Amino acid sequence: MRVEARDIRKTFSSGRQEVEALAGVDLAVEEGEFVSVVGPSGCGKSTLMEIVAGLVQPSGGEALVGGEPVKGPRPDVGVVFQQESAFPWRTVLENVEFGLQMHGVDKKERRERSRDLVDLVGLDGFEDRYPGELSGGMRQRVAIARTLVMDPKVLLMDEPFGALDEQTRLILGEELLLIWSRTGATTLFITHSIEEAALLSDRVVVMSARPGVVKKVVEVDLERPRDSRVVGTPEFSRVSGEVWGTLREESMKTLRGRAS
Amino acid sequence: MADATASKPGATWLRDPVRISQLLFPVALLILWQLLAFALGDFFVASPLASLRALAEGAGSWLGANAGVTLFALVYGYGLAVVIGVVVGFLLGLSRFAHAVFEPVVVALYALPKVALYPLFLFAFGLTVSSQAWFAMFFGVFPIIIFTMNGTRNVGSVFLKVGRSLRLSRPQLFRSIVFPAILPSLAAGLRIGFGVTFLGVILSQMFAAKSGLGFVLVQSVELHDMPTMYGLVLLLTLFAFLVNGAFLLWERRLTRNHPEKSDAF
Amino acid sequence: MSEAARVRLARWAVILAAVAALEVIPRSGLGDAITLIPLSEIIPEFFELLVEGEFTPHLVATGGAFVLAFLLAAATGIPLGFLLWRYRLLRRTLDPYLTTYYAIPIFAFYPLLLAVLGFNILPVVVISWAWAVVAVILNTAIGLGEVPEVLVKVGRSLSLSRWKVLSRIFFPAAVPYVFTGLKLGMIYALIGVIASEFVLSTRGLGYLVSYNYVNFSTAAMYSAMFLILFLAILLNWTLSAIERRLYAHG
Repeated sequence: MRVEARDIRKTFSSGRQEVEALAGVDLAVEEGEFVSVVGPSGCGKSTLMEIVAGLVQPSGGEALVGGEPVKGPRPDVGVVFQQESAFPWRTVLENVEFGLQMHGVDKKERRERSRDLVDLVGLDGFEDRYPGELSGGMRQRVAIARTLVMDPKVLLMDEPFGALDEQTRLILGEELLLIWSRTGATTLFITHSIEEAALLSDRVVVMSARPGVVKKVVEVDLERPRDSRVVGTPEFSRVSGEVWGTLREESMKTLRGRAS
Repeated sequence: MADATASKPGATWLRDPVRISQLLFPVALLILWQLLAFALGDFFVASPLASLRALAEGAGSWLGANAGVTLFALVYGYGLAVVIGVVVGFLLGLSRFAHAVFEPVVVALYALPKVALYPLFLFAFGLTVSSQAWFAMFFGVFPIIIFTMNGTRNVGSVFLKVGRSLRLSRPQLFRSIVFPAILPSLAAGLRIGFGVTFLGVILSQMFAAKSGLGFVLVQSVELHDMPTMYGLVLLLTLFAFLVNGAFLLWERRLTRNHPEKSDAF
Repeated sequence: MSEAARVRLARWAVILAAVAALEVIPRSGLGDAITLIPLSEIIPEFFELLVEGEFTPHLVATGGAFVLAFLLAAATGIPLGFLLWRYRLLRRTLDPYLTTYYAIPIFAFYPLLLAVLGFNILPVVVISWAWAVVAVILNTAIGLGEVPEVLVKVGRSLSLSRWKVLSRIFFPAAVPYVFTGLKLGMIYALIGVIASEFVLSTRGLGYLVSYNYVNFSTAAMYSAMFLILFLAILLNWTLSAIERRLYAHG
């Protein structure tokens, strides 16, 4: 299913202050594509994702999924958030089956489907553990499994590996590619890591500093299936270099203060 | 990161020096008590045995009725405190603004010597168990409000986002996300609220009552009935200890999955 | 207006509304159930009693008991808290008992103390000490543990002597946390003193409330309540201000 952002604008106002987070973002993710969005802190990439997810209303422009405007959360759109979101009061299995349970799927079926997904994300054996007993990486896998079990056609992920160390991120990234290749979901992936973007995506979208617009789109010409060993290749370096070239400029603007 | 919670197998558990010391501590207190009884004589200190005997004798007569009154006031007052405290705490916690405005006020009220206001309850309810119950509620409601308020405020916003992205209805959001997320804080508040409510009941019965264990305590001073006094203190202490222990177990069970949270006191 | 200013304004509005209620409700007759007197009548009565010296002996009694109880709690609590922090076995052994301590109605011991020590200031001080000391102990123990290890490492890396590290780095860093314990100790000590005086005593502000209640001197009773609450609010507010200052600098 195709995902599109058409001239999306978003302004936040609190009291007398107004912050323009997004100033007209145009973006398209074709069916089955994996697109990453990178940008400096505060550039509005999380906001963009939440607008596409239907959790936030844009101030202008619109988001479309499968050609239809987004009015709210949809069953065929799955979201994985940046913060740790595995429910501490449920076991791994209970977490994964949460969405199915809430929508009335009967116990036998949802248990079966959830177990499949627990295996898929590599947490078999941990079904009855609580998130508090797991590492950060494992907890994020729980969140991913919980989203995937709903069979979304579109997957939106906001820095799901943000809190993890470099090595774990690369490994999990590899695993994500495997899972993604099996589901074929159209994926929009937010990250601040250039390497991660280059490793995972078909295209990398670079956003400007706030207020956010699309600054550049870099094609990633690496064959699939890929794994983390592409990290050393020339094409990888080219992509990283191009992304960083634009990103560096925008990041410096952010560090120095408000962008224009 | 947490390891899998391991429970010690039986034999090792008993040989753990910490466990042994913990079990020895009340024994040590008991011995100390007995030694004091020897040293100071029964005019000042009733021995553990004498105290237990007084309780046993009382079990047939005064203890049952008075304990009943105290228990009734306690349950009544605590019930009021829980209902009012949880509702108010929850409502205040929902709004960030309300929380910011009221939290310091509630905390400040909690720290005041509220016992001096007991006459107001006596005026309102007379010398009945209702005044004790409402007064005890007045004591216990504050920690419950504070803990519920903070627990509600601290429900991770990401959990709510997950719920919304899964298109949960409002009742579903509340039942399956908000409520379990608040529960650990709520449990701590209920535990501490109980202790404070109990204190309120005893205080009110010590000041002005015609029955109840607090009343018996004060009466024992006038009659210089040391065994009854010591016995009652022992009974009240054990009761509070056991109930609090039960609450703690419940709290621990809820927070075993949240390794970063620690016990309130 | 900034968010913080709006919050503060709203809070003052709430407090003022409460004070206004204390004035309006009695006048409207709604306060008859508790024979509440309007605030505008309590205050003059209060000042009259204050000037006539009616409060003085009781203020002295309460103040004296409070100061004694608190000083004892600090003097015993801080060292014990230090020991708890230093010796982990001790801490772990006593942990379940310390967590349960405040669930126990310590005031049940008050009649006991009266019978043993007599009807004087001693039982009041002992009970208030018992109520306050564990708060001091626990907060000292926890507070000392809150001092970031890295500060000590810095001192040692500068080759400072053990004593210098303690006195110049560790203790100053621990001051805000220990103060929190002392603040709680003071709050509990005051509550303990007032409660004991109220329940059974011959002197003190708590006793004054009880005495006036029993003698149907409602105006005098409300004045005494007012004084107690006023002093308590003043104390807590001052302590919190100092605490904030300490944490800001610490």
